[in-house]
Amino acid sequence: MTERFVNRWIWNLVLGLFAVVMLLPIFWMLVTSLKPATEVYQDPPQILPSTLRPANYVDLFQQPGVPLVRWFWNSVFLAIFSTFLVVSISSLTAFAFARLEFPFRDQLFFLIVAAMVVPAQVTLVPVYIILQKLRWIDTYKALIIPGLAGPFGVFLLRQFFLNVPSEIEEAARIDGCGNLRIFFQIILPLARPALTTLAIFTALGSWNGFFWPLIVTNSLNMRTLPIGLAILNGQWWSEQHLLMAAGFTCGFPIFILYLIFENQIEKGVTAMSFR
Amino acid sequence: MTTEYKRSKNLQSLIHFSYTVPYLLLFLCWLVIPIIAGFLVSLTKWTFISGKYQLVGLKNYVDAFADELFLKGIQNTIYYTVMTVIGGNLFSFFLAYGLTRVQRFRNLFRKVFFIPLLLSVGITGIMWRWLYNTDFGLLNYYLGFFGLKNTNWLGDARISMPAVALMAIWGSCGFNMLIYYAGIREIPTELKEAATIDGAGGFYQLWSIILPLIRPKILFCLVMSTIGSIQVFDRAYMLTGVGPYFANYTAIFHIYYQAFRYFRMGYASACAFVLALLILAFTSLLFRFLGKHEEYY
Amino acid sequence: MQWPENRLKVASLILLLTLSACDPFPGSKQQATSTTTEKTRISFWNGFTGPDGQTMWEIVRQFEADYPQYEVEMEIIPWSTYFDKLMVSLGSGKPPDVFILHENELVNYVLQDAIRPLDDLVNGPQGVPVSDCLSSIWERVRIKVPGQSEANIYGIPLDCHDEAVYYNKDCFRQLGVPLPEQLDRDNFFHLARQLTIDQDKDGRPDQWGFVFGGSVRRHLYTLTAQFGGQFLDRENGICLIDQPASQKALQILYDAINKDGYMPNPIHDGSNLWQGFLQGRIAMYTDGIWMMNGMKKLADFDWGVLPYPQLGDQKAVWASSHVLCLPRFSDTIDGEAAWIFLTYLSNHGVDWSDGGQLPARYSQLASPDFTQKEHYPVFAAQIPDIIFGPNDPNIIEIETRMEPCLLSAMSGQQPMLKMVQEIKGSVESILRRGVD
Repeated sequence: MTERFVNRWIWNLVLGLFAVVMLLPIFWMLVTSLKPATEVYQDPPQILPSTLRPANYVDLFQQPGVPLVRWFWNSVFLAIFSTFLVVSISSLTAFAFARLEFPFRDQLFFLIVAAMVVPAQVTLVPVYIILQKLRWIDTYKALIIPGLAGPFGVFLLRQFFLNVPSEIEEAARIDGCGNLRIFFQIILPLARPALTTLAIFTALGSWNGFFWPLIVTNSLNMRTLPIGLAILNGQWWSEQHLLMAAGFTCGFPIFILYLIFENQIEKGVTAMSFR
Repeated sequence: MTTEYKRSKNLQSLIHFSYTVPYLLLFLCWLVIPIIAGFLVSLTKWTFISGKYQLVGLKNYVDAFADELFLKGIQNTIYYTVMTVIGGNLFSFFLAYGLTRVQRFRNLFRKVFFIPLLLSVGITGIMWRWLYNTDFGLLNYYLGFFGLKNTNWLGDARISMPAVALMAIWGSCGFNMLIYYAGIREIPTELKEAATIDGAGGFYQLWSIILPLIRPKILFCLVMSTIGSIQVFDRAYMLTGVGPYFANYTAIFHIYYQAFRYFRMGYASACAFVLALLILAFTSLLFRFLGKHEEYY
Repeated sequence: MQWPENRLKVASLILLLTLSACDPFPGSKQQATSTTTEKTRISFWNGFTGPDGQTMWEIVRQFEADYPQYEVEMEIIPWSTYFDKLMVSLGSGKPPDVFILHENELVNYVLQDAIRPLDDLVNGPQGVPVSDCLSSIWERVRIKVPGQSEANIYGIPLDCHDEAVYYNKDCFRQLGVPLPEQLDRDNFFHLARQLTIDQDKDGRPDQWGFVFGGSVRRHLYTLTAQFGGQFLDRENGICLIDQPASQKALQILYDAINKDGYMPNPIHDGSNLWQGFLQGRIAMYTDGIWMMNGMKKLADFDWGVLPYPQLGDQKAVWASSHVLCLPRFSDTIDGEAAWIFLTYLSNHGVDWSDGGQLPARYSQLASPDFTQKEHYPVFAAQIPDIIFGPNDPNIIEIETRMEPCLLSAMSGQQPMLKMVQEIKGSVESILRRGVD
C-alpha cells in the first residue's frame, strides 16, 4: 500500500514538474508583456518585473498599420464558418453514402478515400493558379472554399453512421419519415460525438492554418492571425513587450473558450481515435 | 407497374445522389482536377504571368533529384520528422501513462497539458522565439545554472532544428496524450489485475499488456504525427525562416520558395509530387510495421 | 445543451458574417477624401511602409491638389509580400496602374512580358528629360529583350539609394579620438579596433568599432567592386566569387568578426545590430540612406555620416533605385493619367528625398533645396562611384540561395572555402538554367 502511495506521489511530482515547464513559456510571455520597454532586454532576464506596465496593452492597439483585431476576427470567422460548412456538407454527404442507395455509390466513395491518401502539397500550385484566374486571391472565398473539399469529414462520419443501429431508422421509415427528416431528427442527434470530433478537428485546423492563408492572402487586412503575428514577429523584433502582449491577447479568448467547452473538446479528441 | 416502380426508384436514386452533389462538386473542383492539373503542370515550364507553358516531360523531376537544396530540404524534413514523431509520441505516452497513475490532480494536469495545443502556431512562434533568444531569453538563463552559457538556439546550425522540434513537441503533445490516455483507460482492469495477481510488476504490465492493446492508437498517432511533421512549415518559418545555413529549410520551404517567391510553378509542382511520394512511403512503412490487417470499412 | 449551442453558433455566425461584410476596421488602404465618380482613378502600389510612406502620402496629396481631375488610390504593402501580390495581379489582368520595382528586379518582370515599354511616352510631349536622369540608373532601365533589335525603356527612376557609415560621435570623443573625415585603408582598421572596447573584461566587447550593417551581400558587392571585380558575369554565366577581388572582400568581412573582432557575429539571434547602434554600443554602423529618418527619430546621441570606407583599390558603393513602371496588360489602365502621375513623381524627387532617398535627377541633386539638407550630401557625393547589384532575372533566387552560405562563412560556422564553392556552384546552376 505504501509503495503504491509513494509511487503515486512520485508521479504527481514528475507530472507537476512537467506542468510547470509546459506553462512556463506562457507565463514568460505574460510577464514580458507587462514589462516597461526598458526592462525587456535585460541580461540576465528578470522573471518578475520590478514594475508592471499594463498600459502596454493600450499601446498595442494604438500601433498604426497593425490591424490586430481584424486578424483575430478573420481567424475566428474562418474557423467558425469553415467548421460549420464542413460539418454540414460532410454529414449530409456521409449520410447519403452510408444509408442511401444510388448507382456507383461505393465506387465514388472509394475514390474519395483514395484522395485522402494524396497529401495536400500536390494541390497547392494548381489550386493557386485556379484561384488566381478566378480572381479569388485575397478574398475569404479563397480561404474557405478549397478547404471544403477535404475527404476526412466524409470518411469519418460515414464510418460513424454505418455503426448506428438501423432499427430506429427503419422504424421511422415505416412511420413515413422522409430521408431528410431522418437525417435531421435521428441521425444527427445520435452522431453528436462524431460531429463534435469533426468540428474540433476542423476548427483547430483552420485556427492553426498557416501555409494556405500565407499564400492566398496578400493584403494586410485579409491576413489571418498566425500570419499577422508572423509579420509582427519581424516588425516588432525590438519591441518584444508589444509582441508578447499581442500574443497573449490573441490566446486569451481561446483559453476562455476552452474552459467553457472543455468537456466536449476532450470527448471529441478521444472519440477521434476509435479506430 | 414495373416501369412505374423503376421510375420512382430512379427518381429516388437521383434524389439520394443529389445529397452528395455539393460535396462532389467541391471534391472535383478543388481536389481531383487540381491533382491532375498539378501533375500536368509538373511536366511543363510554366510562366506565371503570361500563362504560357512549355512541355518538358520529366525534366522537372530530374532537376528536383539533382537540386541539392531540395535534397537538403528533404533531409531536414526527415530529421525533423523523426525527432518530433518519436520524441513527441514518447513524451505524450509518458504523460498519458502518468495521468493514469495519479488520482488527485489528474484533471488539472490533463487540462494543463492540453493548453499549448490551443495556442495558435503564431502565438507559439513568437513566444518561443523570444524564449530562445541568446542574450535575453529565459531558456538560456535557466541553462546558465547548469553551466551551459549562451547557447545560440536558433542561430547555431547544429541545434536550430532540434530547437524547432522541441517547440513542436511542446505545442502538440497534449493531443496525442489524450488519445493514449483514452486508450489506456479502455483496457479492462481485469487484465491488469490478473497480471498483478500473477506477480507481474508495473513495467511488465506496461510492456506486455498496455502497449499491445493500444497499438491501433499508437499507429493512429504515429501516422497523424508523421503526416503533420513532414508538412511542417509554420513552426520553422516563425522561428528562424530558412535557418542558419538552411538548417530549418524543409522540403515544404523549397516548394514555397520555388512556387511563391520565384514563381517557378512547373518545378514546384514536381517537387510537391516528390514530397507526396515521400509521405506515402513513410505512412505505408508505418502501416506495414504497426498495422494489423484491419478492415476500416 | 445541444440545441442552444447550435443556435448560439448560428447566431454568432450570422453576426460575424454581417460584421465582416461591413469592414469596420481601418486598413492600409487609405482613400483620398472625396470619391466622386467623375475623377479618374489611378492605383499606385509600393512598399514604403515606415516614415517614407508618409512622405509619399504628402506628394500624392500634392498631386491631387495640382490635378483635381485625378484621384490616386495608393496601397502600401510590406516588401515581404509586395511581390507576391504584384505577381498575382499582373497575371490576372487587374494590376495597379503604376507600381514600384527595384532596378535589379526589373529584368525578371520584363522577360515575363509584364511591363509596358515607355519609349513612346518618354520621347513624347509629356516626356522625361533623359539626359537629366542619372546615367548609371538609366542604363539599368533600358533593357534589351532577346528577340528584339533594340533596348527599350521599361521604367523611370524615382530615386537612388546607397550606403554610408553612420557614426556615433560620442564614442569617438570618449576615447579622445579625432573625428575622421573619411575612412580608407590607412585609418579604417586602426579606428575600428580602437573603438572596440571590452570594459568589464568578460571576453565580449561592450562597444563594437564598426558594423557592416543591413545586408551582408551588399557589402560583398561593394568591396568586390572596390577591388576591381564583380560578383556575376552574366554573359558567360559565371559566378566570380572565387576570384581575387571577391576573395579579398570576403577576407575583410570574415576578419571583421573572427580576427580583428570589431564587428559582432551577425548570426547571433540576440544581436540586433541596428538596435545596438541606437543604444550606443556600436561606434560606426553602415547602412542605407533610407535609415536616415529612423536615425533622426530614435538616436539620442550626437551622430554624423561618413562616406563608405574605401578598403580596396577603387572607390565603389552599392546602390539601388526604385523604378516606376506601368503594367503591360491591364483592363483598367488609363494610360494618360498613369503617365502624368508617374512623371509628377519623377519630377518631385527633392520632396521624395525627405523619405530617406537621393533624387535620381542631376538637376534635383544640384538644387539648393536638396544640397542644404544635413547629411544627405555625403550620400550624394558617392553617386559617381555607385555600383549596382547583379540584375539577373533570377536574382531573387540567387540572393536567397547565397545569403545563408555567406553568413555562415562570415560568422565562422562553416569553412569559407566550402561556402565559396557552394555559392559558386549553386549560383552558376541557376544562371545556366535561365528563365523558365
